[in-house]
Amino acid sequence: MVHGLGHSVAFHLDGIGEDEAQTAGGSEGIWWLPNSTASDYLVLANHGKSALSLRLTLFDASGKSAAQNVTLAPAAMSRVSVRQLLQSHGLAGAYGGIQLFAASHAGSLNTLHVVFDENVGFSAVLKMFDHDPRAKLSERDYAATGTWTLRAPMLALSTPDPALAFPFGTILRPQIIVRNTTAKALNASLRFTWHREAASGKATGPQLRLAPYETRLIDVAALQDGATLPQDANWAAVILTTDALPDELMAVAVSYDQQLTYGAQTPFSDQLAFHWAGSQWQYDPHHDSVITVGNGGTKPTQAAFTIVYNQGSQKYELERTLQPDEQMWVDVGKLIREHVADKNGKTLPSDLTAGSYEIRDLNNHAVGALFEGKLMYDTTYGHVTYGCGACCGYKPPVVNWDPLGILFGGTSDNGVNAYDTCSETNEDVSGAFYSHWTTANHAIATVDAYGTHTGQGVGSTTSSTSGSVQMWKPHSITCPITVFNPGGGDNTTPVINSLSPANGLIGNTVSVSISGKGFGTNPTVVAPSGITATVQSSSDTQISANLTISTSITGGNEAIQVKNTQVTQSSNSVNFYVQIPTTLIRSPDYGTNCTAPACNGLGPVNPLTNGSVIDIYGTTLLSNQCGVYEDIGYQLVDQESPAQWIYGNYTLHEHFSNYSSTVTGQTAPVDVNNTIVLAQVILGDTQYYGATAPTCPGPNDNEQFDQSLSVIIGSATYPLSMVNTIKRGFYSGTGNVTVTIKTP
Amino acid sequence: MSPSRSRLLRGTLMPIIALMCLAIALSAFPSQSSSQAAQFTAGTTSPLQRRVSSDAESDTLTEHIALLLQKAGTWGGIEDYDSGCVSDSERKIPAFDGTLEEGLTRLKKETSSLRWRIQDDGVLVSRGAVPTSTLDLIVDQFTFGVNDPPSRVTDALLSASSIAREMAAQKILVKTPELGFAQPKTASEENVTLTNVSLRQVLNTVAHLKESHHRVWLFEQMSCAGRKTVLIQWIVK
Repeated sequence: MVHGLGHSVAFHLDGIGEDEAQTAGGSEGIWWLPNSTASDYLVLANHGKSALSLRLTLFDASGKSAAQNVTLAPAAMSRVSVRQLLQSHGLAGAYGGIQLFAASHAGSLNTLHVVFDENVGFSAVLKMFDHDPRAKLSERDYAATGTWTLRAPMLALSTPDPALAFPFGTILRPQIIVRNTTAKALNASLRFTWHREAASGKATGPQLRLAPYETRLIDVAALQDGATLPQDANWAAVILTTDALPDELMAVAVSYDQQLTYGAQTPFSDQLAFHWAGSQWQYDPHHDSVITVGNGGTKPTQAAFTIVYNQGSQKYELERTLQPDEQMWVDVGKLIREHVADKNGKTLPSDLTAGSYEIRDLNNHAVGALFEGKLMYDTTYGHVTYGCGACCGYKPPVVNWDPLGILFGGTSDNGVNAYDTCSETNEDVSGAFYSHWTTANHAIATVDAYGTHTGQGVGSTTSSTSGSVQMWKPHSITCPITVFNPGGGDNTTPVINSLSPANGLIGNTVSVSISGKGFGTNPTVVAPSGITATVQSSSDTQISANLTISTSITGGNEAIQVKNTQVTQSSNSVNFYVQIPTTLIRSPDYGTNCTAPACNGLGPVNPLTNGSVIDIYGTTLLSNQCGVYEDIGYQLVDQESPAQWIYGNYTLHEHFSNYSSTVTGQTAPVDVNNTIVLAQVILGDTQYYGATAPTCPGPNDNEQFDQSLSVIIGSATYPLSMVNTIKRGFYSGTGNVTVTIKTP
Repeated sequence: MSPSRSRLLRGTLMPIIALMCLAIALSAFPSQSSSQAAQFTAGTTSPLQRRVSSDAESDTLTEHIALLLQKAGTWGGIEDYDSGCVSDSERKIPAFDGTLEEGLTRLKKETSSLRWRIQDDGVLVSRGAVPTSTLDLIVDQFTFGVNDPPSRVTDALLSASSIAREMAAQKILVKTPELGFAQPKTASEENVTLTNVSLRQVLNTVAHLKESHHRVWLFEQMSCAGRKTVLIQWIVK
């Protein structure tokens, strides 16, 4: 926005850069000299490093023309008066056309056309349209109607909106000037969506057939006859559809009072977008801003309008469903004055004077359906200026996963995301790429319409899709629909369906069986540091391997993979849980006192006079004994929650402490290191007190001690938390053994 | 001896027994010498030179020796004639990392009567000495199952008629060992028969019967308050 502070000067100018890709082309415009004293400037600028040769042609309303050549040196600018040129060429009228054509370097041209009358305090921007002959309807048909459509979202009608604060009784003269830029006749249609406070509606305007190079003025005020447009309507969105190609038809809309003192403009544009970054709005006793958001699509959509303030740190959010052609109107001053709450219940600060805004189409992420417009007015000068947001485009979309890993026989989803250059985030635009997915080698992978890949055979291939999103164009204010073909690699990998056993004791070598498919003829098993995997035998679907677990490993889940060495593809990871011994529990699978579903782990107390001590497995340990014994069944358990039983090879170390005895000279048992092997499902401890018959303990010979345990594997020792207090011997002539868990 | 698969080891006919019979003085071992270390062929390591490590712990001398032997991965035996009629008390033993021989040498600084020697590929350790050890008693013939629990083997050994008779004559009482945890039961009924061997030789045979399963036995002989007792305990089963 160019402001003349303290003067009634405010022009909206779009800052753009050079498009080096465009060669032939130029700009199209409309000249409008609303009275005999208005002046105008047509400013021509060359952004390029090469001289720019232009053909400047002026047309009167009927298409009669006069032309001249203009050459701009590199980085040069030239200003001409259209009024003077018209006079010199003998063209007359109040309006007509301007054409600038360059056979080369057309992308270096930038233009501005303003009209003003210092006597009455009037000025207006007559928007110039870039004309790229290469433009295709498919790139600019954002609503996918098959018809090129232009919109002017905020045409001020005869009765001004009180929000504009024009003097009471001000009557505007809304006009649309339409121009055919081609040498062929063109058809166009006008329709309106009008609005006043608390009411809106649609109206059909005139059908137009424009002769070659004709410029025609449509008096919208005349349509406010109550039959086409309501007399008291304040605003109208003007929708212009045509059978022309993009930029072959152009239009400007102006709405000023008879004296040109008060009025407003609204620019025509074909741009719809999924995301708009708005410019500054103002609100204070002398300024206000009105912003509109409309649905230019053919289906309802959810529009999110956000006011951003306090240097971007605060947000005020509105959301609304908009039907096709429907608009939401936001009077920022009214929101502030009346403390209108947003969707989160938040209100704008009363002293807020400026901010920016943002618009998002929540339903359409690839090609949006929203258009927008903004007017700011200055009550000091009665000057209303339009501003507009910048559409946000995407950088070239990419697939979510490249390469995509697919399990043999399984599925993996790929999608497409694109970088929104405004929000600087990646957005999911997968929906725009549905139904176009394909893979290069169907024997490796296939893909459905939604990007779900299925692994058909172990190996590598590629996949791609096709779709359209709005592209970010450097140095441009447009976001054309562009076709992209993102793709990437697909790796179909072997799959592990099961690993058994899925856990093993630290410091042990565990024989495991791996089931799955796609292992190939000479697979390897990939294990993390601390586990050495050795394949014993293999097929395409089955591997027998030994996992040798170091005692230096931490314990817990470790990832195991299979690598198909023929195609160098590794499978999914499955967890192998490295068990650390933590304690013993009484075995629920052993004991005399069994209440479903578990036993108590305690065998019977067996008094002997001349008998055998028999362990938990039924093996005789001692014969001809006189005494008493009891077998106790245990399970070694790990650190997992819930704790899992451990089977493996290790030494179970028993230590005895806190010893006392009724027999003089009887001493604590010596520590015992019990060798435990994998095959031992239940650990059986035998607590025996006695002597070889015929010698028997005395009637009150007994002892008591604590039994603590640890597991020794290699050089590592793992203390177990369980401590038992054991009492065994004879008490008043009765033999007994009790094992009490002191610490679980 | 009826099992179909049995091994009859007689006198000097079998190499393993032949090596046992070469055992030198049983009641007092000389320290390991270089000539004994030379028994090991190239490619094998003397058990005494195997690296062992242990954390700082409180342990009895016997238990710590058993731990060192176990960590060295060797079978062995401990003969204790020096318990002093009291329970072997625990002591604070600092952390250690070195060879088995260095570990034993460290213990010898506190217990001067400690001796050790290589027997075959095992290590026999003794503390104290007596003129005659019960372990020197000879059994004419002794048969046991390869997969029998070691406590069952020693129970049978001490019940052998010649041994039981001699011990009764000397009024030696046998202390009951701590039985500990059960060993896995196997279906194999393979037997070993030894003839004309000492108790010590039988224990050694049981201790290294299986290459992958090294055992350590403890023999305590005490004479306290006029009562003679012996204990044979498998402290690494």
